[in-house]
Amino acid sequence: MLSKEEIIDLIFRCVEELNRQLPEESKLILEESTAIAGENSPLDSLGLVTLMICIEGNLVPLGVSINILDKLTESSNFPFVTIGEMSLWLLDQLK
Amino acid sequence: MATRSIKMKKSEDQKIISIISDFNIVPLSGHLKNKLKHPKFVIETAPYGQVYQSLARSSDSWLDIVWTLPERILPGFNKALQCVQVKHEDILTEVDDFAESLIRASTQKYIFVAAWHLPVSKGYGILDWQDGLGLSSLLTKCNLRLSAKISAHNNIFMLPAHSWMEGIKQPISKKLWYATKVPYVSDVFEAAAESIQQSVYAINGKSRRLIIVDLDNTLWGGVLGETGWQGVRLGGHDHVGEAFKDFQLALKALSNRGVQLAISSKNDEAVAMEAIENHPEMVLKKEDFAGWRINWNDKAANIAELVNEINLGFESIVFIDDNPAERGRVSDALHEVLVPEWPKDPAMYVETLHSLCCFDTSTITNEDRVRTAMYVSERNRQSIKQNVGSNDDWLRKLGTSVTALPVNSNNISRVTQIFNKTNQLNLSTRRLSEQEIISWGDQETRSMMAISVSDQFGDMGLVGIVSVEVSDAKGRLIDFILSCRVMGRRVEEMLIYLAVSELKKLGAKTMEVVYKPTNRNRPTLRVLEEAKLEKTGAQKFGVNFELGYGKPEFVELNFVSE
Repeated sequence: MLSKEEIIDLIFRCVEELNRQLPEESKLILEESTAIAGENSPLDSLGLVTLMICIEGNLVPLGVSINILDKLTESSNFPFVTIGEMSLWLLDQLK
Repeated sequence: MATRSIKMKKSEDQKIISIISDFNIVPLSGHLKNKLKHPKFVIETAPYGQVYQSLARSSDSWLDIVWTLPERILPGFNKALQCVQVKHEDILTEVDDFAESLIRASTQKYIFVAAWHLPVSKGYGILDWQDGLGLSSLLTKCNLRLSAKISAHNNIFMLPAHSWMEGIKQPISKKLWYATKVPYVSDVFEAAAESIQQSVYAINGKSRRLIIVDLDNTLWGGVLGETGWQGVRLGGHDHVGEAFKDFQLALKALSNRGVQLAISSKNDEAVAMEAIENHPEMVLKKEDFAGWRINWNDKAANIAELVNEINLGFESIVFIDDNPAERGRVSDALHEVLVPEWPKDPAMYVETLHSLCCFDTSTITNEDRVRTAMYVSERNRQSIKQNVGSNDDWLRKLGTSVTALPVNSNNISRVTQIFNKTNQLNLSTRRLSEQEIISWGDQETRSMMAISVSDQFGDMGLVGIVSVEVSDAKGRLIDFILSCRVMGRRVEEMLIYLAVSELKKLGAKTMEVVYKPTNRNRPTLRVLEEAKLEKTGAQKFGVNFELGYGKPEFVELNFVSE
C-alpha cells in the first residue's frame, strides 16, 4: 500500500516531466496546493490527461494497475483540483 | 529564377513559426517555445488535422514545420499498412501531391518537413524489405521520392524524424494516442524541438564555424612534452589510441563540411608540429588547421588572437579542451565562445562532439569545403610579404585578379552566406534571405555582382558583393561587402571602381556612399576614408563621374557574363 508521501512524490515526478513540454508561463509549481484542474489551473485538457497517463504509467512498476481516466469519467463531479487533493483521491481509489 | 520574398510580419523583427500536423502536435509547440526563447520567434499551431488546408492558406509565417504520419497523410500507405495489396506507384503519386503542396506553400517561407517514420507494425516480417511488397521498403521509397521532389527548392528542408526516436525506450504511446491523439512521448518532442532549433539557427546563419582544439589528451592521449610524439596514444592496437583517432576522424569530417579547425595548446610549437607531421596515425595534418597558437601563454589571449587572424566572431567558435581549468578560463574570459563540458573518457569524445549540434548550415558551398586550404594559402601570402620590400612589391608579386559575376542560381547560396555572415567590411549590413536577394536585384535600376578573387597562390572563391541603384541619374552604392581575407590589397578600391562602372551603365552621373555603422563594421569606414572618395558628411562619401575614379594598380578586373 502506498503512503500519501509516496503518491505526492510520484505526482511531482510526473509534473516535472510535464513541465518540460509546457511553455514558461504554464509550468506548474511543485506544491500540494498547485491547481491542476479547474479554472485556476494553467493546464489545458491535454496537459491534464498527459499528467494522468504519466501517473498511471509510473504506478505500474509499483505493482498498481489503475485506469485513472476511466475513474474520472465515472465520477459525476471532478474529484480534485489541487495536487494534494489528487493524492488523497488516488489514495482512496487504491484502497 | 522565381522571384520570392520571405515574409517577416507582425512586427518587422518577428518571425512566425507555424506547426502543421495531422496529429495533436501541442507538445512540440511547448518544447519549441522553451528552446526558441528569443522574443522574435512566435510559435503558432495550425488547426489539428488540416495539413493540406493549412499549407494552401496564405499565412504570415516565416517557417512552416510540417510533421505528418504516413498512414494519415497517404491513404494508400494506410491501406498497405493493413496488408491490402496496393500498387506502390499509386502511393508514390500521393507523395508527389504532398510534395507539390509543400512546394506551392514555400513561395514565401521556409518549410521543414519531417521524414516519415514507420508506425508500429509487424508489416510483412521477413518480407518487409521486399521490393514491391514490404512496408519498410515502401516507406523508404516514399521518403526518397519526397526528398527528390523538394531537393531543388533551397527553402524546403527534410528533417530526420527517425533520429528523434533513437535512444528512447518507448517512443510511441498508444494510451496517449487513444486519449489525446498525441502519438509520441514527450522525449520525442523534446528531441524534435532540439533538432528544429538547430535547423532554425542554420537557416539564420548562426552556426559555429571554427573548432579550436587542445592537443594533449584532446587530439591524442598523453602529454607530448613527457613522452615525445612516439609515446602519445593515437590509433594502433590500443582502445584509448583508437578513440583519439576516431575523434580526429570526426573533426576531419566536420572540416570537410566547411567547419574550420585550429589549435590552442600549451606546448613547444616545434615539438607539437613534429608530432603532427610525423606521427603515422595522425588523421589531421598541418594543412587541416586554419591557424594555431602553440605556446605557454594564456589560452583566452591565444584564442582571441586566432579569432582575429581567421576573421571570425567569438560567437562562431567552439573550444575543446580536456582540462577543466582551461575551459573555465576561456569560458569566463570569452562568453560568446561555446566551451562544452568535456568527458574524461576519450571513448565519449566523438559522441560529445556530435551532441553539440551547432555546426548545421542550410547550404554547403564549394568555398566551405576548401576554406581551410584558403587559409593555408593566406599564410603563404603573408610569408612572402615578410620577404619583399614595399607593399607595392608585395601586391605586384601576388598578381591579384578580381572577377565580377552576375548573381544567379549557381552562386546564390554563397551570395546569401556572404550577405548574412560578413561583418567587418559591410557597408549596410543588410541581412537578406536568398529570395530577398533575388527579388531585390530584379529591377532594371539596380545591379548586383558577386566578386571572386584569385592570385598566384590560389582561388579564394566568392568573397564579396557589390550592388548599386540609380534614381534620376543619382547613383548609390547599396552593398559593399568583402571578406576580410582579401582586405588590404586594393580589392576594396577595385570594388568601388566596379560600382562606378556599373552605375555609369545605368545612366548615373554621381555615386553616393552612406556608411551605416554597426558594432562590427568600423573597418568599412576606414576603407572608405582611404579609398580616395570625396567626403560629403561624417558618414557620407561621393564620386562625381566627371572627375572620374581611377582604376587601382596591381589588380586585374575581369567580367563573367550570364
